[in-house]
Amino acid sequence: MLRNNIDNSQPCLPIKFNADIQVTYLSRLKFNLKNKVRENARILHCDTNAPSNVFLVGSGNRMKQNFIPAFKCLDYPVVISGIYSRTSQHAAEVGELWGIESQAELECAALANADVIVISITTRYVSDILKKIHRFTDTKNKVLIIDTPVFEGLKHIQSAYLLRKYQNTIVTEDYMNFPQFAIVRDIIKQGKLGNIKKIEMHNIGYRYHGLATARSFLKFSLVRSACYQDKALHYQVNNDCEIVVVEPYQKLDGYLYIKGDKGTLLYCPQEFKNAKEIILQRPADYSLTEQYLENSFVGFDLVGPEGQKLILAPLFESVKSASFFSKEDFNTFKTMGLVEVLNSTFKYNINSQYGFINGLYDSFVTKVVHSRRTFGLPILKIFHPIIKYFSALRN
Amino acid sequence: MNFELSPKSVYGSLIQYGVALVPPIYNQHCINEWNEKLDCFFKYEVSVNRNYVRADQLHTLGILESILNKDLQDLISSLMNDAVLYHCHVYEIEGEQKSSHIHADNGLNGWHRDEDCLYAVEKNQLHHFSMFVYLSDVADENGPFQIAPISAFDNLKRNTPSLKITGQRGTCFFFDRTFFHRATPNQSITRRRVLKLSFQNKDLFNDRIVLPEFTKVKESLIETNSDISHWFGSRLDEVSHVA
Repeated sequence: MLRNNIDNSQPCLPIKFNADIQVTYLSRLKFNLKNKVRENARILHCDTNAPSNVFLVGSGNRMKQNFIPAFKCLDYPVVISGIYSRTSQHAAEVGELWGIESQAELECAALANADVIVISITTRYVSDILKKIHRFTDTKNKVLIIDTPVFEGLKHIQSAYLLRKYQNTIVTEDYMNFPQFAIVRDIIKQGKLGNIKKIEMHNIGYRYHGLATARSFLKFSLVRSACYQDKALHYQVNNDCEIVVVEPYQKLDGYLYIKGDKGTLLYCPQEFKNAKEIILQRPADYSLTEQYLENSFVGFDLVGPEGQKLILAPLFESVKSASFFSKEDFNTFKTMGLVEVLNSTFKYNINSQYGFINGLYDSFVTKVVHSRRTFGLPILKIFHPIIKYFSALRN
Repeated sequence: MNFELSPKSVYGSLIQYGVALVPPIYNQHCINEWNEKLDCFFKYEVSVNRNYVRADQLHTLGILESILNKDLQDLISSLMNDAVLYHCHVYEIEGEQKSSHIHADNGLNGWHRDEDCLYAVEKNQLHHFSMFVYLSDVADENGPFQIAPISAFDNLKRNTPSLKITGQRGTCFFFDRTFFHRATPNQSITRRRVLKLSFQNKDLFNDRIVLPEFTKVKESLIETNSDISHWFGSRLDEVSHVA
């Protein structure tokens, strides 16, 4: 946690409390209730001088290809002190490869002593694992890092209260932390596009990842209404902006187009098969694409009214070389996004604003819109307070 | 409910009660000089509900360096050794008001916690604080600042005591922005003028420090006054992707 080196000797004057607060009983009740359901404070994990003990739950591809390489690329000292998986042989194999002690039982000393617990498993088992950990050890001084969509479906939402039992719960929405989306956010933040009116994600936004990424451009505004039409998810958000996520999702084989009242932006991956066509069809004030030199990624090319510039991604090579299993660029971007997510355990970044309530919200909104393809669904905003109240219910 | 407490230190008082009153940092002569310059500035502004003189404008007026003087630097570094600014402006609120100038319609008579810092609160730790210096005399009817010792971890109870801070120009105090506070309505016919500085830890999320009002000052101070340029973000590691 942040610790101020304070000098406690600066003198101050006496304080005279001279008035009462006059607010009605109902207002007080509303205020206190709102206070109770507030999402976990996004506090920093620990004194970053001492290494943090990390315990991993799960040994699948996601853990092997992304989580472990991401931990190896952090700027902060961490020690991965144990790994557990239902299939202990998998855990042993991964542990052996990376020099991590595998555990046959979840209830072990490494878990009890962990500062950070990472859960990356099939969503239907998440609820049970959370309950087991909660029964076994005190979690109030531990940080939980958990993959989205967190739970399998609405039936597990009652377990959301367990996420509040941790000092901090971080959901790994790494897609919105891809470096190209960070560049887009920077351009928006500098006011170069003005107020955003429309965000189109053509084949590059998987359900909740797509919604989270689009909302990250809008300071996480909530969805007011949504519908599924012509293989596209349409969302209307608070500030008169429309988000359109066209399916099917094809990783980065598609494009992003943003229209603001001052300018437009097109992010079109160079490897997208129709890139040239799209660039002609959708001229934009800012054009962003990946830049390759002899088939190797070197950075992002940004062309705008100010000229052309190459924006480097210094982490790319180190992340790529840390990964044993997949050297694909998309996987490297995923790990880079994850590094940003993990960094939010130690320092504040865009992910610090995206807590588990937002993670559950995006997951449920997209799920509901998908399951009611022929209907428009008004007032999806209501999901947010519902999740908040559920998660606070047994606190 | 009237009672008096004597906290031992500024930091202790902020942690426990969310507020600390300090002896004036700026003398009357200094404040009169600032007010003369500010009067000239405001004369050319159309008076609205709230009028601001932002950090870069304070710098242009030649006020900023005397605001950020050595006494203030010592005081701030005694509270937070990695402080970065979040607010730095002088503002006026209009008179003849029946409600608070901010959050008036929240059903709590303007009482609130600053939502933009509630993502990072810890018990008995100070992460976000503001300093107010009254630049006009503030009596009961001039819209004094009011604060209650209710942290982000406390519930609002019946008959909670609060502190309404009145005083002459030069009155100076600090408060934790996550504590319950409000601006009382300025019922007088005169505008209330306040210098407001807000600080937070360097590593906390700060989307304001990249605003031109701060970056312009930073560029200028790096060359002339490196002692305080870090308050404007000169030591932030975070580098914008788009230069």
